[in-house]
Amino acid sequence: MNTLIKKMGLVVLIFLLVFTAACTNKPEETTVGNETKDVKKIVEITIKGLKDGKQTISLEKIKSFKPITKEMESISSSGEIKKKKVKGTSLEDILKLYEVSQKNFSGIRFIAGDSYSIVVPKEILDKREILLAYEVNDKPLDEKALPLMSAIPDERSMYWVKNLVEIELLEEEQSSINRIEFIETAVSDLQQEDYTYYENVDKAVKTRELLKGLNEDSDKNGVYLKAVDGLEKEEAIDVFKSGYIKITGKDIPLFLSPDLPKGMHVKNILYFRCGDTAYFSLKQSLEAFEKKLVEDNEGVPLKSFFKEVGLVNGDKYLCTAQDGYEVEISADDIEKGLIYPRAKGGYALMFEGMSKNTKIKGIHKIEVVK
Amino acid sequence: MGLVNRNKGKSIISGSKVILIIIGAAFLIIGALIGRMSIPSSEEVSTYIPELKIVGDVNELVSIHDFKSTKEENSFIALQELVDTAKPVTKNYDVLLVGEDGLFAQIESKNIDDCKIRFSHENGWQAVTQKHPINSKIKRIKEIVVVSKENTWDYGFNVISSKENILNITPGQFYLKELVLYPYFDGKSTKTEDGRKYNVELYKHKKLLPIKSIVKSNQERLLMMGKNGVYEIIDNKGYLEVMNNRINYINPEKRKQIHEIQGIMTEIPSDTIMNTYYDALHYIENDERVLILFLDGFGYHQYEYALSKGYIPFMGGLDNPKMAASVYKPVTNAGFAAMITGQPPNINGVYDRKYKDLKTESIFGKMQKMGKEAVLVEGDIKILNTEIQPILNIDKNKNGTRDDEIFESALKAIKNEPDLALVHFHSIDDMGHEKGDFAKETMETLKTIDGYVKELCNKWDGKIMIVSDHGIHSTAEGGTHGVFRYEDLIVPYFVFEGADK
Repeated sequence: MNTLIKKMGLVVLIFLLVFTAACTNKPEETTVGNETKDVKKIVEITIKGLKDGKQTISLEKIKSFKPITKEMESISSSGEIKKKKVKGTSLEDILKLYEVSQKNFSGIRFIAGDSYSIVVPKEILDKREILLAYEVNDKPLDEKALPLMSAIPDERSMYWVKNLVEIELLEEEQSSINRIEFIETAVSDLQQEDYTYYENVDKAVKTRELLKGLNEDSDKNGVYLKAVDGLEKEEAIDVFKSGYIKITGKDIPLFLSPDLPKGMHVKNILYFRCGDTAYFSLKQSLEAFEKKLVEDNEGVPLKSFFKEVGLVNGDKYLCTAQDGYEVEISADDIEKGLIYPRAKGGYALMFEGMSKNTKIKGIHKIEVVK
Repeated sequence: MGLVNRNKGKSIISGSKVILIIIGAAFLIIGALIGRMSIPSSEEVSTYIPELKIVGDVNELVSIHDFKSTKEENSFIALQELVDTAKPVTKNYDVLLVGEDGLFAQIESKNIDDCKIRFSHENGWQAVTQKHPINSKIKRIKEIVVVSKENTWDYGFNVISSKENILNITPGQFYLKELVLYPYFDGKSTKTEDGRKYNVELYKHKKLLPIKSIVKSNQERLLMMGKNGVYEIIDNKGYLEVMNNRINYINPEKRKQIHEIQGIMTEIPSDTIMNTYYDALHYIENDERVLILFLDGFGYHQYEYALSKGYIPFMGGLDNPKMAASVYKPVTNAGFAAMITGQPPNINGVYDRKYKDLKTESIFGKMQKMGKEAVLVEGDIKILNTEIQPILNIDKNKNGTRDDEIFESALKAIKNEPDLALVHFHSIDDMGHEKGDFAKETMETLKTIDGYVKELCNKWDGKIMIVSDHGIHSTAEGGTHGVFRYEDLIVPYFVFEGADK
């Protein structure tokens, strides 16, 4: 009898095994991140690769950012385009908490709860706004996609990682900015042309002339512009080079061109970045940055410029005046620097507590000493 | 006893066998049922039918999997029936039967009734013809491309300048162009195993048409507009790619893709109707009053014609207007929204006639924030939902136009000296639709409007702008607009000082 029960048990076990195998032989999910690990319990996302090591951020915190809703298109492996309405938080907004940008990294790996991972390459990080989505087509993510899904417009669906639990920032690059130039000083040596701006005839310089000293690699990327009111804009290098920087009259510095729609003009530029150089307007910097009074001179601390563009590459920096006078400073001296408008016109750079010969009248540029 | 016991034992054994059989049978039945639900049957696996799409110059994309034949012809599908399902854009077309290996046969639509499609495991989707040469029997067909033999400017992708329509290509005709094979970088994935990195870079070969090959002009800067309202200055280094029945723009270096583009303009005019917003704002910020006269459906080519024929004595006496580019789709709602927001449709959210709500702030909203007064004098309906309510005007005297009422209403409104007044005249567009862009009736209407414009300008102290939302082109029935062609997209743009000093 026992033998019989054992036999029956064995048969049942075999059937169950066959059965289980048959039942699990379902078609594979077509989306990434196909199995989920206790998704309901995941209440935070891990971010690796930060200077301070691994950090976690709660879903609550992620969802507290201003939500962005976008119609996005993802491209399947067959080239089919799928339109989705995605609501979520910008990855850049989250990274700002840690004072980094997606553009600073050679890649960002999105890791799902089932260990699926994909590296989003720099080419995409430089061009696309990435959302960490919690709603798709006006509905919360389905259970398998929880807690978040990465969404990158106009890219392959393999980058849309469901069940996202970890973000790894890869190989943070050193800031690509190696030099800061000051627009007001830089344009004084360039040929200035009359530019009719509505009822006024102002002076303008060709952007092509202003960028002349840059190396050829600068042409590979676009130009990033930031205005004092916070407007940020990327412009194609060819378009930028076809225009002018207006340097007198209203709204200066003003990027414009008679051939461009006025919607493409950028008024009151704080700075623009091209290749390894950032061009700051000192006039607008005095509006945008917190000012400091040092030895009766009210100006902008030098560190504000460095911080704005992430100029951190050097141990030493060379500061050059319009007349060619040069002063070399160490990275530690940046804290002491102040740029201020001179009563006689133009701008000067001084270093608090340092000898007078370190003062640079008509400051033109600051570059990394290599 | 022993026998009894044996029998009893046998009965137990036979009973247990029955139970086993029942359990086994139950498992088999349930297993078969579940297997049926979750696993494709062997027959289903063996009869996998590959995708076959009807693409090119068709209004609807049709997949063979969606196709339901109305005729029973064993395993054959009439090519004509298949193509008809996709609704070809024109009556006069050819059909390309494109094989997986790239070999394709071109069949004229007049002989398409000789052609059928059938599926076999050996040859996949295959063309079957009776009267055509044998090499029409393409095997392993992956797509059927409808190629229009007509070019109307109304469909496909256009290359234009601000003065002429230069080239029209339909998605179907794209297949017959000389294309380049481009290794397009798709992405990179990395996996680390045992401390070692394994990288994979993915590329896809794309067949692309260099823009330089179709834009003969040496100009490096071009204006591109798309169905989704994009308005973008591009260089001539990009490519076009056809995808099913639409044409996309690709710039692999800049990793830029814009879907469903309508056309490219060379010799871009220096202005756009979007400048209306920026110019008006500039003057208002400088404490000047601004009058915007919005002449619906007034193309630059009509201005030149009317000027040469003496129909617009007032506007003809002003300094020459600038040419201004409208936006795609050149229809009233989209053009009007672009004018008052300074943004193209993909940003302001008004793509065509169906849209009324603005996603961005208009000049009227700006005025409100500045604490300045603005009026909008309209016809009998509200075109857009703006921050202010328009003054509506119906055709009270039943003379077939609202413009005389709009004119009277505008005269009254400007007496209150608002900081901004926008007056929208409609009848040039109405008559253009009815009779055509250069028709005598359209020109006579323009002459009447020229008179209204003169009177309003004479009574306005401040800056005046005359602008239009779009132009119009003639058709057999009269006129229409909404197409990427210079007549619809280029309008006159006047900015001058009012007379009432």
